[in-house]
Amino acid sequence: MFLIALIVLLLVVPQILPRGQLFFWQRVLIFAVYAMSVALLVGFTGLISFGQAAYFGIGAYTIGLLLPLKLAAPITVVLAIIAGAVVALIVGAIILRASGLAFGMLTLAFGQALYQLTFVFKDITGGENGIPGILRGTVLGINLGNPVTYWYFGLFWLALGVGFLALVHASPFGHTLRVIRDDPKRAGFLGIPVFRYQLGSYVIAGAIGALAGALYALLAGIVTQDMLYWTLSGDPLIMSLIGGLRTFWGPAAGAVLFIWVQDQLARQTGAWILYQGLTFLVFVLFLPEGLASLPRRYQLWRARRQARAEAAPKRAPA
Amino acid sequence: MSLPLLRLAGISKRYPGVQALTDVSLDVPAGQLRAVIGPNGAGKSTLFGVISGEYPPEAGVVELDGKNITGWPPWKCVRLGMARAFQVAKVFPRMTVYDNVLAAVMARDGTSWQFWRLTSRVPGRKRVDGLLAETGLLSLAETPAAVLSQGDRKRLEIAIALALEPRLLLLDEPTAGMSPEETHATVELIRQLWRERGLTVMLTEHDMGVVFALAEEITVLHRGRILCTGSPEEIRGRQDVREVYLGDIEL
Ligand SMILES: Nc1ncnc2c1ncn2[C@@H]1O[C@H](COP(=O)(O)OP(=O)(O)OP(=O)(O)O)[C@@H](O)[C@H]1O
Ligand SMILES: [Mg+2]
Repeated sequence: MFLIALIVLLLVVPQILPRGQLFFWQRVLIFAVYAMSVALLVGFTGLISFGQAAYFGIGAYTIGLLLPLKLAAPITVVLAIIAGAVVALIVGAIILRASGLAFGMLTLAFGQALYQLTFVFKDITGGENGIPGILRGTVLGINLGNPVTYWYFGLFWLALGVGFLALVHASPFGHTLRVIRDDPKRAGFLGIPVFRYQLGSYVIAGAIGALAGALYALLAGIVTQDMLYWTLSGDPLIMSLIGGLRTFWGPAAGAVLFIWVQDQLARQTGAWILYQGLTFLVFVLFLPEGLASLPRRYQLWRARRQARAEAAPKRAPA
Repeated sequence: MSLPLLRLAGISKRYPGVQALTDVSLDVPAGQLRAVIGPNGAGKSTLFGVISGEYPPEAGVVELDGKNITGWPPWKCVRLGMARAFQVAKVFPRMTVYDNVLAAVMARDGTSWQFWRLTSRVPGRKRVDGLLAETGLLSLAETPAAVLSQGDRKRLEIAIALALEPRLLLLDEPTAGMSPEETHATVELIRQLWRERGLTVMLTEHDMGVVFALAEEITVLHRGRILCTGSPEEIRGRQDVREVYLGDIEL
């Protein structure tokens, strides 16, 4: 029910929203899926990565670097996904030898190293200027330069990404990831080669992170260093925490709230980072299981209220 | 005399500052129910850790069914036919009892890595209900493992171990933390499993009632060395065993 409503809503949004707002909401969608990919790693595999921006950036820079080849947009998106997956496979195979905080530090180091590379190879990455002038071109006679058609183009890819994540979650592989999250050492005593599963999860998260980055570069029309910066690794973690780290849809809900609040605050005050931090603090303190726990909390509250009403002495009807 | 299923030769294992095992050699014939006893800190859990791949020994050889498995990681030992229940039960706390056992069943069936099918349609689910029934956990199937009592957690560990369909089952103090009724039920369960499935079982226990009710042969460990191995009658009669361990325990 929820899913059908969501799909219908996403399909009609371009017809009801003014074009000026499409950009904003498409950004929200892309980050929602990015946050879900990070939550697969952090919330469902127990691998705390502080460097997923690396994959978002790999996706974005793949689009930028392929620009001179004038390939069709779907091809560049597929290549970006492959780039994310291949790099994750190689890097993961090395850094997953470490665990816990050491692993987290290595993800951060890798992300920052990649960020520095954009300065080193200024000639092709454009350094601080980035790679401007990204064109979306036409596919099968459809002009993707139009925000409405690009909305549907993005929606198609994001739906593929979310569908794949949903399948992973509902599959034996996802079940096994949750077992590993709960106790990786103990999982080994079930005959599970933990390292391979963690690597698999890392590759999936990397591929979908790159997908998000590629779609974002095409949306923004420019690739910039921000898309590799460490704050972009932290944001999806905060989104996931706000929404519910160990739930499927929670991180997406967190992304919506996070970006909306950020946008509203940035309009009103220069100190928006401060208020964003405070919002985050409120969530951690008062809603530790995130937005996704709201329906259950509401049910509990109603059940309790009902119980209290029944326990109260009955009054005569007025 | 058939080939031993498990063979340890000259095993030594030290932790920083503690020599936990010294030159331990023992054979466990296939199908035997063997108890390992000894005072606290004797090295029983460490021995299980060495057998199951948790701790690689500094010296010595571990063989399972004639195969040298020294230094293998736990997951490989499990795939060769070993399963272990821990002294302090270790289960997957955020998952339900059912999902704990299902994870083990899928690992055993080799379906764990499949990401293209739904867990709800995995053929192994039928076996999970059977295992929960056998271990008396059916009514707790949907309970998160984190809130189980110590006794139920121990039983869940046995269910997980059985799901792996091992040839060698290692039980580290299977009745620790159980009430007398639970202990009795667990002893019967172990006996029944051992008989019906032709398992080789190795267990440690401080409850001598359990040990003498179940064991065919007993190995006594003292300060990381094997003091002796023998039938329950022999062990009961030995003066040195009384001195190091059984001294103040009613037999
Ligand atoms: N992980 C560890 N690191 C360091 N020392 C350890 C570790 N585990 C056990 N030891 C030490 O090694 C020795 C053997 O411990 P072990 O747990 O194997 O004994 P045990 O026979 O199982 O005792 P218990 O009956 O109390 O369970 C003890 O001195 C213990 O303190
Ligand atoms: Mg012990």
